Amino acid sequence: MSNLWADSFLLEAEDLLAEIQECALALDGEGQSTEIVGRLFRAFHTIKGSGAMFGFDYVSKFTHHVETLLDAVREGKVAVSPQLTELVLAAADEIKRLLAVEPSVIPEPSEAREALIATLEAFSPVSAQLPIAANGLIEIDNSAARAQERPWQIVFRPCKDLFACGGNPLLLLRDLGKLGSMDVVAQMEDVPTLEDLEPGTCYLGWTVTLRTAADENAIRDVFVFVENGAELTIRPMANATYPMEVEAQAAVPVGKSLSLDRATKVESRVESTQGLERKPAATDAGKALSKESTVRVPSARLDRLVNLVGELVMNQSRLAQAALLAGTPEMANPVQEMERLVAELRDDVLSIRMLPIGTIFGRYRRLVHDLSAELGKEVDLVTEGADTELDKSILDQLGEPLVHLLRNSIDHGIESADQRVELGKPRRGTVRLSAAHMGSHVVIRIEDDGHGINRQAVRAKAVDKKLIAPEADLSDRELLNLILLPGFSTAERVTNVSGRGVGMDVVKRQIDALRGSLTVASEEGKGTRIALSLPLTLAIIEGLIVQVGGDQFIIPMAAITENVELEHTQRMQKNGRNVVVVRGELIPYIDLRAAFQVEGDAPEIEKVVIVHHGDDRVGLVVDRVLGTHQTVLQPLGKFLRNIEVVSGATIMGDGRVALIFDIAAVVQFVGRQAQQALSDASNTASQATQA
Amino acid sequence: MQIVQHQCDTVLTLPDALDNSTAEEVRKALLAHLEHHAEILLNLSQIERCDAAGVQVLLAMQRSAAAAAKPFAVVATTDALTTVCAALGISSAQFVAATVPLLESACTEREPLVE
Repeated sequence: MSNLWADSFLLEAEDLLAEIQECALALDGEGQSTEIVGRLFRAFHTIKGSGAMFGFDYVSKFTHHVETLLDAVREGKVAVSPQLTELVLAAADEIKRLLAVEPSVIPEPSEAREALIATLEAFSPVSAQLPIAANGLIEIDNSAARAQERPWQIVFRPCKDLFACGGNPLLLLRDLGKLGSMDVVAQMEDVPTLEDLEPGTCYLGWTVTLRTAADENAIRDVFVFVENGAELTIRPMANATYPMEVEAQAAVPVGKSLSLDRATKVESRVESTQGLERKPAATDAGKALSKESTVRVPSARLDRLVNLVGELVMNQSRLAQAALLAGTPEMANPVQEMERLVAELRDDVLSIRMLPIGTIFGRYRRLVHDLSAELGKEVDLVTEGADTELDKSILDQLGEPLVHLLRNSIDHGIESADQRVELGKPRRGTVRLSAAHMGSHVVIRIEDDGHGINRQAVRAKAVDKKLIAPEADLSDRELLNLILLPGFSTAERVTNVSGRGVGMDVVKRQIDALRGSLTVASEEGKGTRIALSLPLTLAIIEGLIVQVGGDQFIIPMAAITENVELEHTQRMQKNGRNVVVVRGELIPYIDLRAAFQVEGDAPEIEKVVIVHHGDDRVGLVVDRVLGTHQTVLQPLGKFLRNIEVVSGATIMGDGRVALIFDIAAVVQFVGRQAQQALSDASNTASQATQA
Repeated sequence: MQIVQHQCDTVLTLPDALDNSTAEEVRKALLAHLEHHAEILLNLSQIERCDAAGVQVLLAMQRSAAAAAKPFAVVATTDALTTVCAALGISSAQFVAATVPLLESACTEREPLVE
């Protein structure tokens, strides 16, 4: 068996397990349960079938037990209950463990697994009565149901790639045969001559007459993992037309055959085909066609594609520069057209890596479910904005911070059910996880309706840990931000869940590394809200080239609100901060020339590029604004990595390297500078008083 | 996989596996055989493992022989092949016919079969 197919199955199984988790948690015993149970059944059924196909026999055998139980649920023999949810989740976890074992290796015997199988069987009234065959499959005695049997005609023409995808019609027909008695007639008219035959292509189709008590859903389930791209018609036949034994003519014409007469007799029972369509109904065909075709590609390939586009963008930039220097007007148009195409290509390629954030929401439902049970709290997770898209590279790194934040909310934020009732709150707490686009950023909020952050406790802990002086005068925001400092924890008890004081600072570092920012808001008694603001992508951005001295820098275009001119006379200081007045508003600024100790004189009239971050606006004073630039972000080497206000570098059209500003860091830097200035001024005043 | 060409040079014995993994190799061998022989005789008595992709090759061979107006027959088959054909809704009689006399005559006219 090719590893490629096994890997493909593992990826598919991962998706299916995520779906199972989502469905299991959505089981509430109310209106939508039937549909959800159907989805669960299909997902387990696919894992079972594909598992067997790709050699994961133990996965297939184990999954069979869950499938049997869910079949009983589907038939109304077992009720939907919280215990069922737990059982399905536990089974999904076990499948995950079994999938981690190489197909050729026999998994270690596990008491937990055996106990789980016993529970699954105890839950299922069907399996309890049925013998398990040596092959691990349940032998179904259909005698009781035979009275309700009816004939079905199934026309199945698999997708051409069936063999190439590892599909095996034999297994499929065998599964179908388990539902009842059947007659199979192969449709062979599409089989070409040897010269034209592509062995990986399936040219066969089948018409099956199945007599079964199973319903259409159960029949359709057999085809669930080969349905894509296939033609499948399942229709009930009138009892009167069955059985009707006829001799069918073999479809393959045999020319000067030595065995024609004997070969053309197919000793199968088939129904009269009069009035029955061989081709699937138009609606089914339309349904099959309307399914969006997708290709699964390893993310490493996409990363390479993004890198190549990055190179292309940089080279295009060089080309534009060279054309400008050459001064040949006939090159202007092609270069402009190239720029347009490259920009389009860049956007398209980057959009391939965009994934809806909902793809990671599913796992948090499970987390909240498990944590609530562990901590004895009653918590609902509400998710919003699951369709919001974010670059995959960011999503991949977002998992851990979100887990920390959700854990904190449930462990420290949400009160116990009894406490909540005493406080006049609903018994069940709510954690809200939402995502939304805000300009060039995605803002993810984690809100809970718990008791909020106790400012006094935070302050006391900060003083205790010598993070602030006892008399420090902090704004509410500064006070709340103390929880982001390394080692800070106000939890009175350390639990398995959180409270080790390593959470929030780690989260902040991870968000900073993604060029994002984290803000905390909290109202005592009402709840806490953590907002993460993240860039849409980390790969290529639109930037503004500015010049300071002889060097060029890039400011992310998305963060820029406006540019204004600054004459020396307009510079002012307020509370020790450099500020500039823009339409009556005082905006603090950083003089980059001073900050980077650039030699030489500044021009008479400088430019202030005003950038925003959250609610804050900050100016960057530069010598000149040169123009826009498609900026491919490159990480800085280890010697430059610690430059605080810079997030990376890029190569310019003329081959020079330009540093890219990290706007969040710039804003923080300005804030700290102002604080330092205030503190210095205060010290100076106090020394003067003493003197 | 080993495809045996009998000394009588008329019968082609297919290997024990006739499935997705060997289909292309068998196809090429059959094509070569088809090109060089006026009658196509296949010995399927070695087949122990087969699937739909393999059976499809046999059907294609039958079509090619018909297109080339060359006689085609199977001299022997196995339970494995018969079972698979039945499961796929293809009559094994499709391949196995009253061919033994033909085989005998084919070989007698040239050289005896290898023992």
